[in-house]
Amino acid sequence: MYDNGQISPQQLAVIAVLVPIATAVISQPAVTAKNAGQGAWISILLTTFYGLAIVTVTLIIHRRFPKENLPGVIEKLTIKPLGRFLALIYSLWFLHTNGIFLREFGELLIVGFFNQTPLVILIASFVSVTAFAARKGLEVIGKLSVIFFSVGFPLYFVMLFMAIYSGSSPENLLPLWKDMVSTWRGTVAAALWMGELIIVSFLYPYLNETKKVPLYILLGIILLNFTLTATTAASISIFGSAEVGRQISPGIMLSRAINLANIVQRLEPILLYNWVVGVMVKSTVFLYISCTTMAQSLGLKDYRPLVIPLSVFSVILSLLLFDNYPQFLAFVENTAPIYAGFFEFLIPVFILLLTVIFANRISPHGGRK
Amino acid sequence: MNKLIAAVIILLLLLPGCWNRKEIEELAIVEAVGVDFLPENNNIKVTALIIRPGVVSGQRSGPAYFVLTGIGASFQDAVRKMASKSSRSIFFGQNEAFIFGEEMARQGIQMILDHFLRNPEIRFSNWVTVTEGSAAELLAEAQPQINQAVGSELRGLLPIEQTETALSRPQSIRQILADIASPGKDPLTAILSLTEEPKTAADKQEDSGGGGSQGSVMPGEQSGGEQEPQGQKQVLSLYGSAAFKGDRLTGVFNPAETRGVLWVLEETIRRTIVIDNPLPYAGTVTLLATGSSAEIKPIIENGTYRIEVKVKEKGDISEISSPFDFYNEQALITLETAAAVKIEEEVTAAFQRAQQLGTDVFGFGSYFYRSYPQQWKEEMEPHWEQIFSNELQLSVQADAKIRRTGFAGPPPPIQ
Repeated sequence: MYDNGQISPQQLAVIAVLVPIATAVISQPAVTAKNAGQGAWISILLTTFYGLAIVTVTLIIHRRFPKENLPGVIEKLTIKPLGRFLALIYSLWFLHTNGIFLREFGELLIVGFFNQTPLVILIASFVSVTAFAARKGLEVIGKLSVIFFSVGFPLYFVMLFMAIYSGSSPENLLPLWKDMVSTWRGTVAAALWMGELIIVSFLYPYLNETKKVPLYILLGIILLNFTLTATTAASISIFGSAEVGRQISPGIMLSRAINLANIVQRLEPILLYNWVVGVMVKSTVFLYISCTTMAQSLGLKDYRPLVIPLSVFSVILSLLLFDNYPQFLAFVENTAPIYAGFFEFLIPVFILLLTVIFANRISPHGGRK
Repeated sequence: MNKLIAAVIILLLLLPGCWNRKEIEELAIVEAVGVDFLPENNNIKVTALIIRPGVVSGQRSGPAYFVLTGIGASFQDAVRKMASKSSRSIFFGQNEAFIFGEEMARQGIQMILDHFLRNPEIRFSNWVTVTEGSAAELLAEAQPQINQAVGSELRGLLPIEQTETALSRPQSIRQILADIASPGKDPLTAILSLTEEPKTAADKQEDSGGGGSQGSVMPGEQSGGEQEPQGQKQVLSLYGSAAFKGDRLTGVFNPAETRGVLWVLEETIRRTIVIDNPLPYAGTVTLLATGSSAEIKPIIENGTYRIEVKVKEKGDISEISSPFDFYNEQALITLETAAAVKIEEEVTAAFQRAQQLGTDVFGFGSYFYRSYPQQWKEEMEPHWEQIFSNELQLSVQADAKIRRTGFAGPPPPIQ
């Protein structure tokens, strides 16, 4: 396809962990606790199945077509224009989502840390870095994320442990859940982040080895969900579910709650490291996928010329998408689960059905060349 | 390559993030904040105790801190008004404690705490305390003791209260917010007040010596020693706790009642229990508690609500003022029983006070919620205050154990 660089299954798994987690640790507990109360961590645990379902669907499709992404599969199964149209749709969707979380990232940075810096400066300087990385190709992104991951993840757990140790009351987690309906609504709200595992499908063609993919992805999903569940449970035990549901960003609040013996305080830098680096990997991956699918849709030979225009576009998009932060929150809570679920779950399942039905009638080898 | 180097140089100029820099010489560092409510025009008066870093570090002489006030329609507004009197930008990152005046606490503190959540400078570990009367007066009149500034005094005073004396119950912003938000629990936090302590000769000398000229005035030349002593020194102290309903102050728990709450909440460390000598001698035995735990069981039976509290305490004998032979096992058991009765009395007193004020500072409601989520949602939560004040029954059972007796045996009989 478009990239000569290749990634290993381990790197893919690390990317699959970092992409949802980057924004989930910041805001997922609040959105979930608002619906599910103290049972929010159960809701998040339940989203594991959603993530597993998406990845299973993807892996079944790609076992048949190892060298194609989702639009490529459609192209093989049906007619070429349809595949190209789907590629365009996915490209725009990834670009749009990129703009959305870049906006969240910028807004929260301003609220918490850079009170006087204009939004456009933060986002533009950030995107210039991601554009640079996206132009360098997937191999760079893969190695980058493994380095960041191995430094940041242990630190994150140290931070979590310190926050719990600074004063938490685990009885805030009881009774186990509010009721079935609210826990289910929490699950729907929390599934948004898990759905981003669909990136596995778009990075699959660049794997240098596919045998161990299911194992590593499974390990990744377990780690991902363990982290998210632990974060939410810690937040609730420290602040109480009512307070967490009211917070804009439980992750930042968690880091602010750290106070060990009045000496270890103000550990926001650890959270910032994980968050900034995580969002960087996430944004880079999204930009990369957006560029490659756009190139696929236009039938270009190289995706690189598209990187700069699309990254500029995503900066502008992120600035124009929302008038204010409440609008963003309303979008994430009400619109996004359905909007994203369409691309993350419905289309892949539809393609899976097509694969199962039609695959036998088409030449068994899915590779383009 | 040249392009790359140029790009790196441009980025180096842009990225170091001098945009939001805060230089320490440009900050007015706040150590304690008083918040008062002015009923005549519904305004909020904020009093900030600001340190002079040069004095604290010993480079300059003079008073180590000063106080600025601001009046506005909201906390933030008042701080902005205050900033108009300050040559430096007001900085809350080093703040230790917030002191709410009585009137403010009665109006409700949620509207102020709300700002603390939104302001990234303020740490959640800051203490929230209440004072009788005006917080502004308290901050203006309090005199530091060991430390140079009153704010640093608070930094030590409040944690010590939490771990050693148990006459009051300081709470941080995080704890108060969690208590306000959680169903079936009300906050209880420390009351800060001024008490008078005698001035020492050194204090008096410094008063008459004047602020900045210690070195130049010879002690012999001072006339201060002959003047009338300037009376007492006003120092900060913690005594009793303020009980809230939701976010509004409703009443006061005295130290004994506060201890009753602390037994139930398992927040007691190293506190003393004074017991009349159980043997027929006048005098007391003083125990130092070294650990305690509480077991709380909510029970709903035939429509009656009951809470069973079991307190277990371990302690050392730390002072005996009249003959008491602790080698006699019977005497020891009598002492343990007396200590248990004392604990039960304190818990009962605290519960009665809480019922009278209608604030569930124990969080008994949350225990019902955890054990009976269904009943809590349907029948209890809507009129929990009613149930708590009128219907809830409490049975306390305490169990005190004596562990150690210090380095000395029983005191000798006195002829």
